[in-house]
Amino acid sequence: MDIVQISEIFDWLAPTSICELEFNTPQTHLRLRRAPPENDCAAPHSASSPEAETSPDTAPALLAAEAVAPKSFAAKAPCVGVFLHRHPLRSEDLAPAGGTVRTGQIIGLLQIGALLLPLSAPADGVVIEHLVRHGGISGYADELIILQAL
Amino acid sequence: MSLPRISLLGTTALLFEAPGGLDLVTQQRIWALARIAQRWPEIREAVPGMNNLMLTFRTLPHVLSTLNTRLLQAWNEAQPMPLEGRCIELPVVYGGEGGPHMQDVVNHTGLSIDDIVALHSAPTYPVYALGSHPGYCYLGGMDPRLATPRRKVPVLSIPAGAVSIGGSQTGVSASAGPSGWSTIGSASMQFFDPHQTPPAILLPGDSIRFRVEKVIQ
Amino acid sequence: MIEILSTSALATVQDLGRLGSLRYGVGTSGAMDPLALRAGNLMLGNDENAAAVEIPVFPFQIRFTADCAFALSGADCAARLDAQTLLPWSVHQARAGQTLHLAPPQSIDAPALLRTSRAYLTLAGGIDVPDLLESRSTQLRGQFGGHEGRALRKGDCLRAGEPGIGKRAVGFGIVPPAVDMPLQVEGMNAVRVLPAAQYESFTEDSQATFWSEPWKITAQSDRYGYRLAGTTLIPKVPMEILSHGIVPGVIQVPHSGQPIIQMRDAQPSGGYPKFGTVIEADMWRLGQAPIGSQIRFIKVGWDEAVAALAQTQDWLHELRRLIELQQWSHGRA
Repeated sequence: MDIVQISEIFDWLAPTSICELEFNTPQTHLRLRRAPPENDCAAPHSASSPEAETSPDTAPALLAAEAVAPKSFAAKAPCVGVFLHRHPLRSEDLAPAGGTVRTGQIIGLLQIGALLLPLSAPADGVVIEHLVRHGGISGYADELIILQAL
Repeated sequence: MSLPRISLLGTTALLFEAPGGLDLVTQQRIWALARIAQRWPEIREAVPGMNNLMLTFRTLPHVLSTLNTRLLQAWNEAQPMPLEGRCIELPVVYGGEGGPHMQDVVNHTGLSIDDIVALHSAPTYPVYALGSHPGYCYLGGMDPRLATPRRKVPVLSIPAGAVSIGGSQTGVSASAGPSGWSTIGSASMQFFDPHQTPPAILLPGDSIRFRVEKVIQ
Repeated sequence: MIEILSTSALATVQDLGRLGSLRYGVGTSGAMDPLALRAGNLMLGNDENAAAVEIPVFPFQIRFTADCAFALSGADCAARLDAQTLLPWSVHQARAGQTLHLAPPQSIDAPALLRTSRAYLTLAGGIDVPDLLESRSTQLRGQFGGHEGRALRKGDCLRAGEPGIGKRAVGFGIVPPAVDMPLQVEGMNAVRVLPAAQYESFTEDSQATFWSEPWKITAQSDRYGYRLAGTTLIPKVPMEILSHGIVPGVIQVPHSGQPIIQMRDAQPSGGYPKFGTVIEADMWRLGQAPIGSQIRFIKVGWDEAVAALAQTQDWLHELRRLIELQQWSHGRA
């Protein structure tokens, strides 16, 4: 199975409500997963998203609770690929644990063949941990990095 | 009689070397061979050298021996191309600042500066080939008594118009740059214009005469 | 579309080279790392032969005077577009007024074997300079081609073929060829060499030495040629050779016995004994080898050299296909 075929499967799935599809052959195990439509890659890891915390509608009580224990959230894979913690030319991780990252900053890469697609930080935060190892396979919308809101 | 020699320059080109020494009739056959090989579809460019021809590849021949055989056959059939080009006269100041290596040629050949100038300015030099840098002409016909080996360490820059000797050859620099040859004089002439077709003023088959403008001892 | 802000000399406009005017004495010029140039152009959807800026000295800075998509390839220079850090071998959209800054590649914490020396800045539609003798490459010796036939200076402005906000996807990168196609011998970067006409005319010791010992790329190395330092190569008898055509990659051995590899700005003819020729498929590796580094030579025959070139073409073909697919899905999104 090559990337063209996988892409075609994506196209067939696009107009359907199927969110997950597993495919097994003697040579291949393919799992395609996508998030529900309103859910982007910046999906919250716990109850509320980091964006919600700054929304004017948020209850003051919740904000107070957040101040004690800031919410964590995940950066999710924008596509299927091999997850890289660092660029192949570099020795240092793009987002080492404990480091602070800003919205839109590239915190990892997804490799498809020779292509490298960026994994961007969905919001400002501190990197807690990587859920998929460097060089590990990631499915679509898999949670890759857990961050803690600032 | 020895055979031509064919060798590779990586996967970019091959080099055909005619047997025997530098000789005008052989060179005229090289020009004829270049004209033939230039039409072969796998050849990007046929580049005459001194007694040799480089062919650069447009597409790589899978079997080299086929191309080699065709080249040898074309060489055997190649008739000397007639020498019917134009002749230009170039005034030269020999020695002094414009000829910094004159003394090296004196030392090597055992000739006086005046003898070197007389021998160098006597012949009409046919343009055998272009090379080295844009518009530069390799000339045939230098008196063998002037032959001086290439320098052990190349000079980092010699100016445009430098008249120099390398081995049994002589020539005039068309622009400033590094050279392994010994410079004995200077001239001024524009040899190249990239906006013209062809871009070089002189081509194989044309010729040059050096007129002695001045000799600095 | 871009204005050069750096005074650092030696950056030049290069495409894949001027391949068809050797018979007029015109050397090929062209990118020292042709694979990086092609990859940069592929990321932008340009013709693979479109001209780019080759940057060998850092820091280097330019300002975009109009919106323009651009790609970076070759050496990893910790690039920044204003405050935004950019990864190497990637494509981006610049807005008018933004500044691109490239730092010395040595400032990057990179594995030693992946250290490289030349960066390429490619613009959408290629750098718009005149096509002379079928190329846009700078002919330094002939003082034509590229931008006014010379290296770029502070204040120079270059136009892009297709400025503006492109419709194509940007923000992605590619895996550099040095990662995908490594070639090393005993912990040193290596290039493959086909023996040339005078190989057999060197002593057997010299022949053995050439393949078994490291060669240092000395400080006297540039776009014209790499002067190597190592054990002296000795001919069996002294040779005087008639001038003949040569191409980038030819390894000449002058009387000093220290080899010189002809590079892109080399003259198209020479008369020193030729030991071998670095195969075309490996010229990009050599073009990126930093001064002071050591390289090794691997002896190959014609068939291996042809196969190596096919491997490079396959790599490019796969890259082209993946980028087209990426653009296709971007167009549908």
